[in-house]
Order: sequence, then structure tokens, then C-alpha cells
Amino acid sequence: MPEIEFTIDTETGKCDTEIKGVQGPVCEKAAMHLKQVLGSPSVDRKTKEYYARPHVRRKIESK
Amino acid sequence: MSKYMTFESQTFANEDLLLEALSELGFPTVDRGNGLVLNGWNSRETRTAEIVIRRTDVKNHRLLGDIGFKKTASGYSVVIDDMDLNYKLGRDWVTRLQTSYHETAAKKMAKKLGGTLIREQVGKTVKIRVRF
Repeated sequence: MPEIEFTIDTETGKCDTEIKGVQGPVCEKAAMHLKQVLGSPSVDRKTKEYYARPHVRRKIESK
Repeated sequence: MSKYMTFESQTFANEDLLLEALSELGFPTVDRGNGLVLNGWNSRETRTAEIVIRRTDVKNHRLLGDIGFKKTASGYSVVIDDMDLNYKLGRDWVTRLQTSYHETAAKKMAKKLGGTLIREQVGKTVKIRVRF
């Protein structure tokens, strides 16, 4: 299940967010919503999962 | 994990979140407007802000000056008397506001995405998961 994880350090007020379980454009959409709410982040990086392509198995049926 | 972002919030980018966070901390009444003058400050160094908590509206702390939030290009930055911070509100007041601001942001995201929110605190770290 996709999720956004907020990790807030109550000593510094700093907030790290991770968008998990979604790839590519869907992730970008969630990130856009996040930026609309919180403004521009000081760090913004894509992870390996972002670039992962869904594994599609081709099924060939013979008649 | 597919994307990682860090928000420092020395300035508060979102006005609605800031107002909700202030309310959560017990400051529900603010004045809003352009270049509002902060009372209680030395008249030779008049300060202005766009969001102001009037010291007269803060009953449980006897503040020396109004607290202001000055609009900048990256958001609202706090204008607060050092003495109020050190002796009245506590030196960690801005950090508590930042924490409240980020928690409010998580709630807003859960609402926006139609998701559920799970909150847990381990020591000094608050972890909030928004599942959607």
C-alpha cells in the first residue's frame, strides 16, 4: 500500500518525508501535493524505486 | 521508498498550516494584514509583520511584545522578542511550532489523499504514516 512517511525531529523541528510504494508519475503527483502543502524542500531526491519499471510477463497463447 | 524530501521550515511556507499550528499551540487569535506594527517593541526599531499575535490576546504568558510572522519570498518568518522566548514562552517555542506545523501538514495530506493516518512517537521522534 502506498504511503507517505513523515519523520519529525521534535528537537530541531526538521521533517523528513518519504513517499513509499509508488513509482514514476504517481509518485511525482504525491510529491506535488506534498510541496503544495509544505512548500519547497531543502532536499529532494528520487530513489531507485522511483525508476523501477513494473515487471510485465508476456503470455503467449497457442490456438 | 521512491522519493525523499526534507523540510526545515525555518520559514513557514503555508499560511493555513501556520494558523492551524498556532491554534494547536494555544494561540488561536491573530491579526492579519499588511505591515501591521508590533506593539511592545522599542519605538526606535519599529517592527511590522503580516500575521500578528497580540500580547494582550495571550493570557497565560505575560509577553513583553507582540509575536509577528513576516512574509518573505519563502514563507513567513518569526519576529519575536528574545526575552519572551527565553523567559516566557520557552526557548524551544519555535521548534514546537515547527513540529505542530509538520503534524498539521501530515493531517492535511491524509485528508487530501483520502488516506488514513498512523502516529507514533519514539523518544524525540514523531513518525506519521499516511496510507492512501
